[in-house]
Amino acid sequence: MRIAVATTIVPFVQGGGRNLFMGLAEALRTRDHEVEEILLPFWPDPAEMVEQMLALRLLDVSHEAELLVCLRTPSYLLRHPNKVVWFLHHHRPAYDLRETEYADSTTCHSEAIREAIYDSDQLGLREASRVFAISRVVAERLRRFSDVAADVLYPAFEGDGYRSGDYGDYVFFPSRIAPVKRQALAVEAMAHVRSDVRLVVAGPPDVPEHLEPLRELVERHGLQERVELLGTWIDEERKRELYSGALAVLFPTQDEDGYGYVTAEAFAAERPVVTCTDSGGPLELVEDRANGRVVAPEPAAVARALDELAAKPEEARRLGQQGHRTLDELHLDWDEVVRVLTQ
Amino acid sequence: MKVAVLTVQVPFVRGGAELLADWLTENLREHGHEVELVRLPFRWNPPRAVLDHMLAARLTRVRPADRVIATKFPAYVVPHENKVVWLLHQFRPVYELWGTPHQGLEDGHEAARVREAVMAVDNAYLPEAKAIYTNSRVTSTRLRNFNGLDSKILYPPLRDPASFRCESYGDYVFFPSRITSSKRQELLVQALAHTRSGVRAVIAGAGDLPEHVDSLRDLIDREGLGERIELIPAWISEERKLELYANALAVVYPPLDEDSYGYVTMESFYARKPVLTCTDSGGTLELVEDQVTGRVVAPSPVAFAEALDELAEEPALAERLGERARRRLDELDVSWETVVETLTS
Repeated sequence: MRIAVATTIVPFVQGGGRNLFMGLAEALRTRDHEVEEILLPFWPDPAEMVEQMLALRLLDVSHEAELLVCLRTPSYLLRHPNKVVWFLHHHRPAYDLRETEYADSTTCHSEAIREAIYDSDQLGLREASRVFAISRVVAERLRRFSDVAADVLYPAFEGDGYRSGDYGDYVFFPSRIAPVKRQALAVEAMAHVRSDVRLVVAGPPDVPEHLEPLRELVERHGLQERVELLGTWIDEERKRELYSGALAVLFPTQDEDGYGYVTAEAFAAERPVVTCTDSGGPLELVEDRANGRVVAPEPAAVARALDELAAKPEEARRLGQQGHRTLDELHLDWDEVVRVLTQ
Repeated sequence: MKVAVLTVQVPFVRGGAELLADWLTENLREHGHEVELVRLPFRWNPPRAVLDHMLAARLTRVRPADRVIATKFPAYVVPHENKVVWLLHQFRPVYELWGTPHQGLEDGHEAARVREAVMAVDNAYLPEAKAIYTNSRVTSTRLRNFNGLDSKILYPPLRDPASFRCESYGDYVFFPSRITSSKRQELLVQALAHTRSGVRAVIAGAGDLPEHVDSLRDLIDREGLGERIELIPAWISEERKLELYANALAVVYPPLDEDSYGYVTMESFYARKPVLTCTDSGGTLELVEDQVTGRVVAPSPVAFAEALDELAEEPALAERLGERARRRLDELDVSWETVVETLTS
């Protein structure tokens, strides 16, 4: 089938949405579809959002492809008689993040622009023949914010090359460094920990300013010896090595959209995942004391969970192995994604 | 620096312009720039779609870029305070193709209005650029005549010029190109029928339409040249192409009024082969100079045959012209270093 796959990108920023887009395009191609990739820049400045939405609406891609699959918001403003949306997330600064501590320069303070965003979401989503959400969390937001019913279609995860080693003396927290990922919570938890467990934080800061406060926090608590802060991406091999020898994986993110590749990678390496009651997407895979720990987003609670695992590595093993089974049962493969999107 | 390369995409169609944007992106990255390649979808039928897409381009933002390099209409309409244009061609249907059978824009009242709008947009927004470069003298001249705009020529290099080599000046001429009437493969076949020397020919390239290949094959059979002409009606591998260039006596490329010099010309020069072209071939004449870097002859089988015979009887002449052709590329300073330097300065 001739399929156009579309998404928006923030120029020069490599995000999860772009990776998922590339993965989907590749998966369609290897299954003998003819694919056209449409990546459209979308600069998240509220003052210029309305005209950029109009630009998307004016572009006509309706003729050549039999199917248009749209990912990141608001690429579904593109017109096509057979449009399927695989919805990643709303433009949350205009919805639920507006009045939270995570508000930033992209936060939309104008009621008129918020309405335009709401209306354009309605327009683009309602003319789609089908809408899928990347997680239950996102499906629920679609219902709540947009009154749109969506089935859940999880992003594929190909867990090749993950291996399981000893349950060592450190917990691993791989993620880009940003306030919503809550690396600060992880560091503060380490100040409460009684066991000798260490913390390895890996990932680049979203913006350079996010790294320094974290370093200062480590120093303020005198944790230089017990918290290793790698402020960059590490290569795939090193990442797999750090997974394979970790006691557990820490992923206490705030209201994540999807299940999170970190969760899937941890399970692929048979590591339990420690996450929080308000972490969103990961909770669709992580079940407390079944394949990980789900605790309150407070330093003391996170610390207690880490101490328990440090005291009983065999429990970490049991949870991690169960996590691997959870992953197997979900069949997160591209065959399923391609089948659903093209049927 | 952060560079956005802006071009357009017609879904499921890829041609030379798309490749050039890819290569530019690669080379900018190799020179340490952070590059985002942006391809805006474009369509022109019905003609009013052109208006929508021009407006869409104007409303598109690539703000965080330090530099924008736009190569095609209407991508260069995207606003940016630090934009340069490297124009491969304008929107042809409303310029040089207007009123010709190749116009490609559904005719009528709407097309005429769209034509006015495109010209107005070009006149208003092209001058926003800090500099306008084009790929050829032909494009620059048109821009001057149609829009009164000045531009400089910046020749597009090949992707990997170093891969071209010369091993010998053999007993065949090579004609690598799409097989279509405007490239005039027939002229070579008819010329070969007039040659006295035993020179052979290899014609390689995909047919635009199956009919083009069939009629060429018929002509070869009719002239009884099956033994002397090898017709390969498909894209050949890069490796095979390099091999055929490396051992050819000369390269034949006589298109009718081509826009730019054509990649074939440049590839030949890198392989130290003279190019045989015609007085009415257009862009190729920017590089091919008669008796200096190749042969420029009248588009007639007899004139063509004479030039072929001369080269076949004196391979040393082919070698001399080929060597001169290679030096011509250095004089023109055709290189990715120059392109990257020019477009980012």
